[in-house]
Amino acid sequence: MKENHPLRDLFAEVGPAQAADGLEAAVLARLAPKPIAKHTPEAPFMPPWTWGIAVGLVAALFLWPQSSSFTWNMPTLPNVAMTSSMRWTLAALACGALLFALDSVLRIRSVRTRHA
Amino acid sequence: MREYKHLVHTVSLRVLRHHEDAEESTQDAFVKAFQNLGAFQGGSKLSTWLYSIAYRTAVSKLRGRKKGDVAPDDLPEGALGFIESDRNEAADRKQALEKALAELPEEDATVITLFYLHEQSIEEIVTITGLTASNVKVKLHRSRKRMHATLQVLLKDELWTIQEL
Repeated sequence: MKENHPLRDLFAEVGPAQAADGLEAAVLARLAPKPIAKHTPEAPFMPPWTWGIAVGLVAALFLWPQSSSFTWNMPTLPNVAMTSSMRWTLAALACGALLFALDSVLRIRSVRTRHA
Repeated sequence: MREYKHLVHTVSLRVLRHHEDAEESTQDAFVKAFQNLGAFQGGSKLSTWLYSIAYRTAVSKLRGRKKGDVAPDDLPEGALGFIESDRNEAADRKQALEKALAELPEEDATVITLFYLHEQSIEEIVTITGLTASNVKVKLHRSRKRMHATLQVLLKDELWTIQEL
């Protein structure tokens, strides 16, 4: 069925439809690997070690005067059992927990925003 | 890609009959071909494999396109009257062919283009389109007759060239 045929000649004369000049570039652009968002975690507003120091200092303030024979001119803090149930203590602890939670939430959100 | 881009685009255009859609479909077809190059076993010609991807991509796009959503590109202007003008003979013949193809259903236009322009055999057209061999033959026969009728009107000055259709 591939004998010379006027219709074949006409198709050959007219040729194929012309694809756009930028086709190769467009295809290659679509095939190019997309840049992967680099995960660079932002430093937290308060470095984790500062929390450790803060807890240590508070604990020291409560415990040191009771276990030491030092006579530095330091204010004497009431004992832990007594102060732990005070509303100021509870409020301070709640504030600390709230700030810690806020810090964590903001850190997570900033990472998500960069990868969106 | 440079070698096949116009031919692949022609397959997309025959199915979709809309230049922008055909450009997009051609791009999609090449992207699919590159991504599945490993799946090409060499059981058929590379051209047949590419046309097959182009055809299926275009048909899928055609099905996804809502009816009337996108109008096909305008047919050659003047339809039956342009031959009388002083325009370039080659351009007239091109327009006549486009017009004759536009009057065929998309599938028939694609089959006859694959057969005459792309020089694909019946078996290769079967592979590309998924039609049966007898169906391809029927479509070819029917398309030839319809194109003959159209071209006879459009190219009456050159009737001798297409008498044997």
